[in-house]
Amino acid sequence: MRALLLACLVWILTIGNNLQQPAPPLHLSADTTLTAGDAWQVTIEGTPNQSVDLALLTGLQVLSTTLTLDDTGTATWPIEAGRIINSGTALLTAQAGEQQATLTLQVRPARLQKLDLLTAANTIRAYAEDEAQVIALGVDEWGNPATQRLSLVTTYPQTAPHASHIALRNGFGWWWLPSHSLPGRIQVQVASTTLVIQQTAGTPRILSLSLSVDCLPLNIPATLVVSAEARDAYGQIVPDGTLLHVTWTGGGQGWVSTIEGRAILRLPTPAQRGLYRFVVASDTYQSDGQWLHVGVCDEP
Amino acid sequence: MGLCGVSLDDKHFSGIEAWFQHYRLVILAMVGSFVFHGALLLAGTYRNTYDAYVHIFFADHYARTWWDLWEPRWYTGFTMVSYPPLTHHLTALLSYPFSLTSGFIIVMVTSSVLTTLGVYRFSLLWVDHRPACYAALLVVFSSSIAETIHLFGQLPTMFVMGVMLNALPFVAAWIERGNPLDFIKGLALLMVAAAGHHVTTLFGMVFFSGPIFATLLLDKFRTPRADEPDYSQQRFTLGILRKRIIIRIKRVFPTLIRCAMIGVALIFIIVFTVLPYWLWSSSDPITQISIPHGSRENFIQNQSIGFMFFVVPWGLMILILPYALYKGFSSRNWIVACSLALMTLLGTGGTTPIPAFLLRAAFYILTLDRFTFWSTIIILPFAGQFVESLVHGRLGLWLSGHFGNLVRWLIAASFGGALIGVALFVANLAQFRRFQPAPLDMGPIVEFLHKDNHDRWRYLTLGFGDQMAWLSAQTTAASAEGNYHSARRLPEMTSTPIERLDGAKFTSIPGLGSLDEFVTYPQRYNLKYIFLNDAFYKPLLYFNGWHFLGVLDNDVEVWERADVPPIPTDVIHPEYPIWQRLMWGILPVGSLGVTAIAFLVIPVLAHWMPPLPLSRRIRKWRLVSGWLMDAGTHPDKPSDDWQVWRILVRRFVPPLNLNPLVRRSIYGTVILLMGLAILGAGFRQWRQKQVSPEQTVLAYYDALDFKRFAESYTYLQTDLTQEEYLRWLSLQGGLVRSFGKLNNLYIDLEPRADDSYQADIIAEWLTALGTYPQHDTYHLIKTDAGWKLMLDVVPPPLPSATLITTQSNAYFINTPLASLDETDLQRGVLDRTLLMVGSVTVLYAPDVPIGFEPTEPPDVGREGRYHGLISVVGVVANVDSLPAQVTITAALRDADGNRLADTNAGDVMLHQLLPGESTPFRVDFSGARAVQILELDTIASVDISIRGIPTQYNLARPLILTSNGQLYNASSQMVDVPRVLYTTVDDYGLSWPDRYYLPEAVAPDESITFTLPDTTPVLLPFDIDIAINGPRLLHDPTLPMPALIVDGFSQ
Repeated sequence: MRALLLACLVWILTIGNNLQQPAPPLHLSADTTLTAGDAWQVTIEGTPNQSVDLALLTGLQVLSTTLTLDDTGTATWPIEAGRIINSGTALLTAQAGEQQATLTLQVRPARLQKLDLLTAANTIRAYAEDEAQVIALGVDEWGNPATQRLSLVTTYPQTAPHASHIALRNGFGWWWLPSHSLPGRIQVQVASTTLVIQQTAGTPRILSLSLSVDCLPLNIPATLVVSAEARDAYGQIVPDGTLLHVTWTGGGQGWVSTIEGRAILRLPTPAQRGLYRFVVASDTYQSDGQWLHVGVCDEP
Repeated sequence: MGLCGVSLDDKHFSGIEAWFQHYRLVILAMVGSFVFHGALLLAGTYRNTYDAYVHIFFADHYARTWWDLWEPRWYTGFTMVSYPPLTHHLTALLSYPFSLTSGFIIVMVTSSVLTTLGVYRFSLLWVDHRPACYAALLVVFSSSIAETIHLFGQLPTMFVMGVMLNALPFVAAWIERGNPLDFIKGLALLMVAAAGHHVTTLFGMVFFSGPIFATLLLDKFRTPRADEPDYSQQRFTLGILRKRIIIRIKRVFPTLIRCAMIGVALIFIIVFTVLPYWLWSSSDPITQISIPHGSRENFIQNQSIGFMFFVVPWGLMILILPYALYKGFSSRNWIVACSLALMTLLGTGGTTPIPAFLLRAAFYILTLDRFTFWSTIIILPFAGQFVESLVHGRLGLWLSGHFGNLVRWLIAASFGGALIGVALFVANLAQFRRFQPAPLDMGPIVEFLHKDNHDRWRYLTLGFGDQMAWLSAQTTAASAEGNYHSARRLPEMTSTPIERLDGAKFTSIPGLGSLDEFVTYPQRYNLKYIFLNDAFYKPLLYFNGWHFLGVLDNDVEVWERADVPPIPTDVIHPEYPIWQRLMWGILPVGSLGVTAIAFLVIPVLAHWMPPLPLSRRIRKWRLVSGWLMDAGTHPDKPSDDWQVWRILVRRFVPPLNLNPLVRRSIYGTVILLMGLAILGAGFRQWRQKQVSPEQTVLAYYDALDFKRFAESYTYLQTDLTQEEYLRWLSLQGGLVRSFGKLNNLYIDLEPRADDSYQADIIAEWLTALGTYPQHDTYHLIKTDAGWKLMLDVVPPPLPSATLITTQSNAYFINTPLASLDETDLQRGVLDRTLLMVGSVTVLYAPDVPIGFEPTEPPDVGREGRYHGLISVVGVVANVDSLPAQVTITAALRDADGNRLADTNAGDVMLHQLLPGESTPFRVDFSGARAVQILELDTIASVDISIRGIPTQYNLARPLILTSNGQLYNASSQMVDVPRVLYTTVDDYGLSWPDRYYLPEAVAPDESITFTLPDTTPVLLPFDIDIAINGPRLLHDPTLPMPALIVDGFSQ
């Protein structure tokens, strides 16, 4: 009987005591937001002297360690700067025996470090007749897509710089850039990155044509030089390389590209005697006709 | 005992000297094979072969990724289980300490030495030791072996032949004696052969082991068993006949069972060793159009093919063929002689209709030169007999007796010398007669592909020949095609009889049709670069929107196509289960380990381990001892005559009983007369060809075709000096003269009263842009130097000093390769040009052919819609301020929006537009994918994508239309291929743009006249929904379609 009582006493002092004092749950405490690349630390609270497995899943990274809680049931896991670098949601899990705790960490991208400006049109027509789509792609020093509000400075030809803002979300931002003023270069500056877009003259609207001579003798080899000039609706010379279509009587036609608004076509003497009318055209616009007489020419 | 009474295993020698003495000729042959083929391979003969680089490429795959069964570098990816890997595995393993090419050489030389040994061992089955030794010596200088190694580069064929020949004696020993050890050894070697090339093992075994099986069965059939009763003295009755039949079944039954065992085991081994191959071939069967192969040609009509596939492999052995057949059919080796005769016949390809009749559908799949190769191997035992007879035997004695010893040895030495000479000639044939383009230094191309992310797109080679495989083996960049046609699955390739795009011009219009699909719509294949080693294709590339980028250090031109997306980062491809990958990576090479165990371990175990009691008991069972085991040969009883019909035959057809001398004289005279007749006919034909006017015309056009202009002058009778003639030719440039290849030549010779001829010639020139038949008329006269073509033209004027000045714009458009690392924003796909599109219509031309329609067996009747062109027609203009490269893609969709076919506008448009320039365009749905749309009703809509990017290429507009039908070159450059883009309007107002290429060039400041062909087909409007989109696209239905545009290509 005495032994039975002793056994009961021992049971009460050991197991029973445990029943009365359950183990404290694992608890994680830390800042829940972080800038990529910054240092961070988490405090773990639980049963004293308990061993805790910790794993931080961030992007494709997994950082892990095992800590033993001190006599007060506390431990700290400091993670130095430059280790948590993937932006997005990170998950910290702590495991101690059957006990588990999790903590969600939002990792913000760091400051923008690299910005690319791209355009879907490197050249647009001037006079507010055209627009270009401009795309900004930005990443921080860890390659995370940056989210940031950036200042934008646009400088049109012969005008003062114009400041505004663009928003970069998840590394991506875009906007329409309308043309403005006269032909020249548009400079777009975002942060330290610059994009240049050519603003060119419009399509030919004012066309003129001249012939080197107005008469060519038949059957004597000679060259006729046809000179054409093209300007846009605002009187500006059309972009170099603009194709002009020269036609003349008898089904003749040739194609010439402009240089500084002018184009030259060299032709042999037509084989047939007669009057030839030359016209230069672009789209539906054309010049006045010029006449060439092929046959017997008067001496100058 | 072997077939001929000699067994390798039973031979014992008193010492190494005796052993060496016995095998000295075999050893000499093996050393000779090693030195002869090794030296030639080291000298680089493999570089000019057809297949060597293909096998090196396969080996390169395994060297890079042993366990990966997907190869992405050819055909937009193909499976490696499509070809048994052992030789490639061995080459790959050897490439680690040495290099890929060294590995290839080592495996090839080993195969040749194995073959030499195998020929000796195989010959021993049929002839004595000494003829077998001579057979081994003959194989060293066999022209078929030389061709296989040094012209064809067929590594697996050689390897398997060597292994199989060494396996057959074990197979024969097993069948004859039933020793399980022989069974194991034979199967182990056959496993190696199956891992090298299963088809060769399977088919080769039919022709090589078939005679062994049959001869052994026949021997057993005739040889009485020790335990059988003797019925020979009893009167013939039906009961006796039944007993005799049972006796004979008992004689052959054990052998038959062993044959069946080896057959079943062989099939199991072939299936098991390369199981992934069989799984793949059953799940993904080859459905491509049969590719013409020279070995199926008529060798008499096409003599150059006959030379390659019959004369060269046979070499001097063709002289021994009658002797071999005579010796074979007059001895117990008649079955192997049958095999020889049958393979010889099959090897003649389409020369007679018999092979096609015998092989049926297989005739169009098999390459029949393989039969010739096997014939030249199986003849060797008889050839050994021939040499033995010449050196030691009756033939030698007869020669000595009639002509003296000197003549005998002169003949023997001449035969040997000729054999070596022919072998050397064949091995170096590629040096005398090029089968491949000149070897190229691939370094500059590899460098180009590796720099600036060029390897993110696919490339294509044109005019490289089989060297393209060597390029592939040196780079991780992917090619749009490959050099292993069995693995192709793209319908563009499998629907025409073209082996490779690289040599598309050699398969005429069908081949160029396939190439055209790649060149027109490269975006489908992520094809951006073409490496050009053949000017033939330049016009095709230029007019389909490609531009010349530059010349590499190896003189290979690089052509680029703008606006092509890079290969997606993640390309979906079949993932093989891990067990298949392990099987493929381990079993083939493991077969060598199995062989080592079979030869080294099992014999030792068998020697030391006593027979199991169970096996002793089984052997005593009556069924086993009576039916499954040989009972030994009866010592006394001769084989009785069991063929009862012979008694009747003898009664009615008495034997001639000719004196051997008379018989041989008759045979000899017949053979001599036949030989003389063949030689006479051949000489007559050759003579006729050499001296005929037709031959002169052929030689002249051949010289023109291959640009041997100085030689072409020698066939002419003209007042022009050679210099004047060459100048006259140089003024005949253009599409046909500069880029054409003679496809057909039709000659009509009319004799004239003065012994001369009038030749009306239609020369059909093939160009990359179509065929151009040209009609020429020549007067042929006979001179002391043979027949000559009269050329009566005015001497061309001497070039005069000419100064032409022109103005042009130069553009520099800097488009960086990639905007960001690790992104897909690639060069030229972001900066878009402002374009304007006019009205677009879809038309249907029911009579226009749209794809290659097979008209010959075995593909005749292949399902497809071969006529009825669907075209999208419209006009587009560049309204930007920079020149634009314009790409127009149209996609046909069904009612559910599924894509049925898609393609680009081809050469019926200007691909590069200057600012303000417009062009008509026509997107033609032709080729393999259009052929597969069987019902037009399934087409519900068409999506059209029109997009442009700035360009600086192909912007010259050198031609001017001075009047209707006359072009003038206003530039300072020769325009080699002028093109007229014109639009016709039919009675119903439907516009049809088309193009016309002028066959002649236009020199600067010169004019040329032309007449547009009337080729507008019958047109019907095709009423489906049209959706047009583009990144910067304006719509203006009033945009006029130009009636006529001229441009041209200048080199």
